[in-house]
Amino acid sequence: MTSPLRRIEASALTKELLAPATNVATFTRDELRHLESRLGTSSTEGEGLLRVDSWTLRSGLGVPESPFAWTPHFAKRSLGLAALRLVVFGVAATPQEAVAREVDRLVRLGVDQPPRSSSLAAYLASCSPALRTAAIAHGVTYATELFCAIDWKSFTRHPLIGSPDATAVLRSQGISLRGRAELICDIDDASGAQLTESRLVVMHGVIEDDTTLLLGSAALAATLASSDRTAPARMVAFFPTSGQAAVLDITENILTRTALGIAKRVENYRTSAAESLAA
Amino acid sequence: MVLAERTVLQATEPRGLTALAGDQLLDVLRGPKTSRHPIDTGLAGGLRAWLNDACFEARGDQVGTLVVTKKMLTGGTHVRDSRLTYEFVRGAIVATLFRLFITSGPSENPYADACEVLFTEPQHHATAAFIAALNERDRRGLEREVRLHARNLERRWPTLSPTWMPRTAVSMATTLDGGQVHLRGMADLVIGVSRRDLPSICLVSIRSTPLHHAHRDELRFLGLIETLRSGVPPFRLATYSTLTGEVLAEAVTEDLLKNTVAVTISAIRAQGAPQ
Repeated sequence: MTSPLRRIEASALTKELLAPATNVATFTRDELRHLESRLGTSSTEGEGLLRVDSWTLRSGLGVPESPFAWTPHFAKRSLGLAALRLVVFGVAATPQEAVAREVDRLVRLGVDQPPRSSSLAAYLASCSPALRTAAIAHGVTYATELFCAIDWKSFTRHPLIGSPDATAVLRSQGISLRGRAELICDIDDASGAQLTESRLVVMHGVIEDDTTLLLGSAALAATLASSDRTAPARMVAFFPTSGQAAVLDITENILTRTALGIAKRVENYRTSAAESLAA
Repeated sequence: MVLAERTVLQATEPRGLTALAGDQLLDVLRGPKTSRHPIDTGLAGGLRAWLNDACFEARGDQVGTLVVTKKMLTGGTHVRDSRLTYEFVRGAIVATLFRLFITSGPSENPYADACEVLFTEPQHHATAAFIAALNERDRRGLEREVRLHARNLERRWPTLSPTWMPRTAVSMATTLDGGQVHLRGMADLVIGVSRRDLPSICLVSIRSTPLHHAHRDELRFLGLIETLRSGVPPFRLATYSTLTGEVLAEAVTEDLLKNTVAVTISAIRAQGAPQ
């Protein structure tokens, strides 16, 4: 079967993000329930929800043994996207200025938070100046790479930069499906009659075999979490490290295949986890 | 811990290079404006095709991913030797220090600050363990050296305008041979806004040792990766020694990139079986 993933030049990122949609997948409630059912069913009642997102899919769905703790490296995306908003919307002139502003804001916010808070603001308020500087450095690199990759003048409508993950809690399947998008752009369908969206997902490294599944899962999460039961028309992946870019046009068939792919991975993970427990 | 291959800190003859500082250094990083020419839009594609052909010939039907790094260009087949040396660890600390310096200027405690940051980076766990295992005398020696590099940076490194979009520790990669061969590297500093029509970025590599020609070759490899990943070559490559203040800078030409492709192909051929 040929891959539905279209590789594009990174120089075409903006054009792909803003091109009119050729297909807009909308669902009735029943169709959406049917789509959810493709994600399988869980026999592990009472257990916590399995988190399924691009990170856990890549790392085999295993839950990290150590609790999450902020580091400068982990802060780069949050700081970078906040900075990008400031630059794109003209509040700051450069990513460097924007990240510094955002860190200052978070530090002011964080000093009032309890010391045990797990928020980035609390971390930045309590960490050493060196770690804070390192977080700024990470954020500047992230924001600059993304800022330089997009032709911001082409946007006639403001894109959403760094909105919260789309989250679909699927109790019957025992999973929490999350879809990340760094940029969400409003686009029209080809006739101009319907407004839909394209989503840019920033990925690490190079295009790999699982890129289609990862993009599809982000689209599936966005669809299941959407209030109007509409799928994003297009997912665009950008890999700053390699300059690669790829497009996945979202159809009903793509979402179904994605759901089945996730279901298989979840089943494999649960089987393997159960076997380890038994051993 | 016994320290092998330790470089003794001393004034080093710069072999025709001199220590640069402030505006002089900035001028060398920027290069003459006349040296920037519109790109040959087919260049990156041609270089990639050449590399792909060579990968196919060198690897035949071997399966598995071969990762090519700058060290493989200058270190022959010793790429799997992952033992840490004192120089490597000092270099990692100085590179981190440089990152902090570019971001927020000089630090009062450069060694402590750089180590603290280094210890949080997952890729530097082995470096952190190396430092933690140093005896007190060696640790103090390392700290003295790092302070010297910090002072040198403070005295010599120019202020970069934020409008030049300086960004640090920029990872770069590209794939060849249908994803079977990865070229990977990291630039300590990238200056300039990438453009599609004109080479406009400068890649900077930081060294904590006196400079030698292998450093230039390693940075040329990064220049090649940048050309392949973005389709546009950098306009300038600069390797800077935080020890001596020397800088090896050059304009990126078609010949330079072609030579680097040839060196990269030699490295791929020398690797034999995939990792």
